[in-house]
Amino acid sequence: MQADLAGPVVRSLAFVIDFSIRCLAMFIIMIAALLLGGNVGWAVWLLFYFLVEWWYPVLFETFRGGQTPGKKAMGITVVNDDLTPVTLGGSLIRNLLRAADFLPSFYTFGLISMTMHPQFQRLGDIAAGTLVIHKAAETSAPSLPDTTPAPPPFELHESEQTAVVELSLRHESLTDSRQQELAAIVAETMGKKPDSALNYLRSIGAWLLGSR
Amino acid sequence: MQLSEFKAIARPRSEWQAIDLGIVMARAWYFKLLVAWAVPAVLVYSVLLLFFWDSTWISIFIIWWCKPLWERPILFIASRQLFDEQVSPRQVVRQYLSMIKTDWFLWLSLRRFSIYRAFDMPVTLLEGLKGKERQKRLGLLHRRFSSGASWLLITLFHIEGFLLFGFLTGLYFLLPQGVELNWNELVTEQETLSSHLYNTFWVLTMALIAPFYVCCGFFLYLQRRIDLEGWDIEINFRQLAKRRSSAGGGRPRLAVIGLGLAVLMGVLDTNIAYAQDESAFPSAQTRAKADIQAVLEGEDFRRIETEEGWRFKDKQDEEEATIPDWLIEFAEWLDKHGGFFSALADFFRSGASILEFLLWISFISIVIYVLYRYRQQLRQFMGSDRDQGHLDVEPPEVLFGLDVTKDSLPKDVIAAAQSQWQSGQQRQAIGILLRSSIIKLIHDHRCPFQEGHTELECAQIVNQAGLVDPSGGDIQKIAGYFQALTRQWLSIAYAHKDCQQEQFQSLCEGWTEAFRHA
Repeated sequence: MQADLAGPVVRSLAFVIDFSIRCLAMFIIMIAALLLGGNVGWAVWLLFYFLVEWWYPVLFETFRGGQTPGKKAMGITVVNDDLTPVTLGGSLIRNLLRAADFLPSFYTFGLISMTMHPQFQRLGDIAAGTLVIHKAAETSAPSLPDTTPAPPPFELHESEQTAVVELSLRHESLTDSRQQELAAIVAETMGKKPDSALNYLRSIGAWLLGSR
Repeated sequence: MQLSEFKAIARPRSEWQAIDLGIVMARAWYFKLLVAWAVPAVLVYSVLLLFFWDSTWISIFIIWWCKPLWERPILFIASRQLFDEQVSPRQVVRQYLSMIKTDWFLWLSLRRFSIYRAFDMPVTLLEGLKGKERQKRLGLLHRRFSSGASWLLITLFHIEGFLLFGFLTGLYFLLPQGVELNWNELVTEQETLSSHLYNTFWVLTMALIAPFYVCCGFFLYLQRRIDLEGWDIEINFRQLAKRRSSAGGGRPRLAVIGLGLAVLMGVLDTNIAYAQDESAFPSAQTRAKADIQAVLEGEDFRRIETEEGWRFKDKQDEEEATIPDWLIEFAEWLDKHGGFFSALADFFRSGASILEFLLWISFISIVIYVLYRYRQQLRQFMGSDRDQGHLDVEPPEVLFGLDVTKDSLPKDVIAAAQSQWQSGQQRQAIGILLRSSIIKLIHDHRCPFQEGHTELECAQIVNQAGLVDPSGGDIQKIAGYFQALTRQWLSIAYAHKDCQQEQFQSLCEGWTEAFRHA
């Protein structure tokens, strides 16, 4: 299994979204607390403050597939460092240690650690053994060029198969002349003329994608 | 640029993934990039401090404002290293001036406000595009990833601030217990000293952030090109072609391919490949470089020819340069004859005057922009007082989809319209009448129609304009006729209502009467 690690920029933006949501929640609770009035109101507010500040990320990460709303918006997710889903314990540790990442102010240690660590981990992540990764966005079924599928003329390696398939998938975003140019690179290898190579490659691409 | 030497894995990515790869890239060569930013900036900063020791904000403001210049060597180094070309400090120093020079004025004025700075910089520095071409290229690149590029700047801008604050609070924490800082005294009496301390940390923070910002923007740019040009496909296809053509190609080549695969595999988790031990496998590139050197030193490349004679300079090239020579000469003259910087300093010293200066600049810019934007309307407005004004405007060739050039007028208008009517083409028949009326109005009566006017606007113009009639036709009649014709045209062309035979006949007669003199 393979995943792309999420770095400081995208994680900061996710944090800002979560932080805004938390602030908004606390603001609404504060109004309710003021209506309640007096010291009881403040006690209730402080109780909620504790819950929102410390349990908001933990609950979302544990029960929502490793994603707080902010992380979901940015397409990133928390997992254990073997890419299994994050557990309650892991999430609790990484979030409690935000306090360490915050030092000396405004998450200075967290930012530095996140940037310099080979796996983009902040201190809390290192302690909990968790990673933040990019979650592949669900793409809608792409449109394919109209061809009759044909099997490859010889065995293609995985990377080469990917390249042929990519050429088919991106037939709308690459310019036609560029597609011709790319196809011409392997025309001779495939035993085709340069100008008929593109259609042939598209046929192979359709075949590799499972059409028969 | 050799794609085969591209050190990152080319594949489709999201903007955030591209930014993250930029961070990995900056990290890989961090020290080099940091030095490339910091040495010139700190040098200039020190010199500025000598001049402006007392007004502390000037030096830091200039350093901050010139960020686009300090960032260029970073891009220079990163763009070469990424294609496996080692850059020595000597190379950077030697090329420094030429890389700073390109479009520096624009980058320090208009483009200083761009939130896509790092994303756009490669287009200037690596592709060398200017003016319209640059705009076109940016339009293409910005179709995706422009939001990522702007969020990158916004995020790093804030991170810069937070880090600076973090460093200062960290410093405060490190003060031994018992040392009491008198904040009041520090801020009021030691004002200069404390703000110099603050500024020094600011320069430090800027230097620390810059490699990341430039590399992230650069990789966003690269990712756009990977997507637009299918680099991943090209690299794999080239490998495929090579693999098939050298199925029995001997050992050295296989060793290189083997190494390539090993590099690719080793890369999967860190995303970037590092140079392998070259002594173990002298790579194809090293050998090729030696070959190239040998060829270059051969007789073929040692021919020297001297040509003499007068010829014209390439004027066009000079005109394309963005900064006019006189401006550069003027700046040099100011620089040489001293007094400039001190005058500038006097000017800047009062915060109010700079604000006023900026306000005036923006006011003048807005006026110029408004004048330029509405130049057509203005010209028309000025011209409406004088009839000659109409002549300035080229007569239109097409009005609401009808060809109104003089040549398109049939010889006998009425006959042509009648024949269309007979064959049931009502719309065309009325169209011919309208077309010919408009052509007459434009060329004989000088009606100021313009491309983009609608039928009703044309009718209004005919009503209002003091028509010039060379042959003394009845002006009132022409205007009335044109109104009726337009109404009929609207109902047949857009409302698809049929036109009665009598109405058509009366229109034909009306045409003959109105434009009889022709």
